[in-house]
Amino acid sequence: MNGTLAALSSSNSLFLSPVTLPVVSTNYSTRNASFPRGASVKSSVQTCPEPTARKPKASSLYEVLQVSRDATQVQIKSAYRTLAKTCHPDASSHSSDGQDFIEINKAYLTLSDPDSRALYDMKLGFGMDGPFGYSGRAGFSPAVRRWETDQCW
Amino acid sequence: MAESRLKRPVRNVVLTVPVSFSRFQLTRIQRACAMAGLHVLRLMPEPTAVALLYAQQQLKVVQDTMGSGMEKLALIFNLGAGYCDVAVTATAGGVSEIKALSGGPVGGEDILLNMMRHLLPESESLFLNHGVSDIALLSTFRVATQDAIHSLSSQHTVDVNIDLGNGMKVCKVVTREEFEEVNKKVFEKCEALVVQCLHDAKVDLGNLSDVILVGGCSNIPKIRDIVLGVCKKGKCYTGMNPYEATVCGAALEGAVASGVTDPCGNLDLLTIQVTPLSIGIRADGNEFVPIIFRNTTIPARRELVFTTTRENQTEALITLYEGDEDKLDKNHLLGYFKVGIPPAPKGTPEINICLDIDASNVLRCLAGVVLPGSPKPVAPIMEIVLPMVDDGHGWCAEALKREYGSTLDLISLRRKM
Repeated sequence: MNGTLAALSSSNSLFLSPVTLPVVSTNYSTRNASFPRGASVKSSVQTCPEPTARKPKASSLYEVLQVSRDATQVQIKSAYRTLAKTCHPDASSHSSDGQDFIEINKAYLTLSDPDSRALYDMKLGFGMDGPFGYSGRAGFSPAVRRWETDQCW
Repeated sequence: MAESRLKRPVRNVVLTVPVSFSRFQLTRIQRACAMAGLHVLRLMPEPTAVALLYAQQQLKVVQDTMGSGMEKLALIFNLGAGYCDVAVTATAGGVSEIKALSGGPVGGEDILLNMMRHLLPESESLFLNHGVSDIALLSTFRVATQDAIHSLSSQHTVDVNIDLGNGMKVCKVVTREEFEEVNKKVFEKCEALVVQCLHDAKVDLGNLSDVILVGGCSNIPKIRDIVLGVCKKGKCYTGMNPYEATVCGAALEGAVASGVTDPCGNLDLLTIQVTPLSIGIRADGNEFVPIIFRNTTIPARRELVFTTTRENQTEALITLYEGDEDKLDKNHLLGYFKVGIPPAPKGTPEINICLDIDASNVLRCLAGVVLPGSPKPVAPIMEIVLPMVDDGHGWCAEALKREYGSTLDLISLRRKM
């Protein structure tokens, strides 16, 4: 399982990883001009690299939503709404690229569906029981998380 | 006209559009607005504007829903003159989360035309020569038919008595049953849209709190029966004016988008939108492979990995489509481009196609090629804003297909579980 996940992470994280990649923008000037809402959309992940300013990756979907592991569906839903109000690009006053909200939404989609949540909990428990404990898993988990959340889309 | 009413110039606008509008139609509206000197704050599907109004009303009703996290599910059905839109929304604490959208080009105009044809079967041939008098007659007939339809909303039969001049008269008693029979197809289409939307939203009918009917045609009894019947509800939501709901919702969105704040928190609102149509590419032979499915929350970003079909294939043609038809040609061609690939055995290069819809609904496509074993893409990633071509350019794809055959084809790389 380890091997499979590693291979997947190499191919999957091409666009989704916070690492900045060089981008050839074919029509840069028209792009900026065509945005109906100007400033808030100028910072896409590639064009405005600020990897250091980004929040440290949360190690589980529960942390993304800022709820506890045993949160009820109702708690998860209200947490999602609260976060949406602050992180959704339409709502927040400061410029946000929407990447935060995508993460939050993915977490919400996984955790709000009982089946995918159970599956996710199982994976999470699997990591916890391993010899590395909590800290050892931290570097490994983003790959797990992506693969996991992609399945539910 | 709006400017003269308000007695001041309008600069920023929020527009509501039918759900079934394609990206081309949205782009055209934006262009038209730019030509008129209008800044488009938002282009929102009509039912989502209603959803926002509903969210605000619910916010007023129960101020503390946020804490308890209790959400209310509502189905919004909008039947206007030209389009029918359905949305399912989950609302709590001023946040309306659109669960699913569906829509189609069917509306009051179809009902009216069907009715005119029913009353005067030869009407189309009668008014063929488009003279001034003909046009005047046609509009008299039109208005009379419209009145008859309106009367049928409140009574069971209506006496149609139209004098069209030069000896032509239409005298007929039309019953509600007749009207419903004539427009059977329209009603069936509406029903299908409601069923599809409920299915996409994965909603349990028992959890549905309200059914909201808006739009000019929402008064037709049959429409009410159909929508309420599908939703298994006794009555519909009466808290809003069916004719003004969309506009009120759009006005609210305008206030929110331009940063107006209300100390009472009445404008503490947010709509979480979804994409009404799937977007994907041509792959696996001549199949449409969706990358972003319909009813995906915006902003969205999703990628799929594809690979080559030939040994040492050095180029791949990527054709992007929008729509939900199984047949590739029925969907709208959004654009096409080529990516270069280093020579490699077939099936080994990984071609990452990532579609990104940002908060202002701009669609981009990013394409990168990775060879196994190397973490970096072999060439700089291509980034393209869509749509690249204009509507009705499906023939471009056909021409490309003829020229290259299947030499530049892709197949999707199934993920190993």
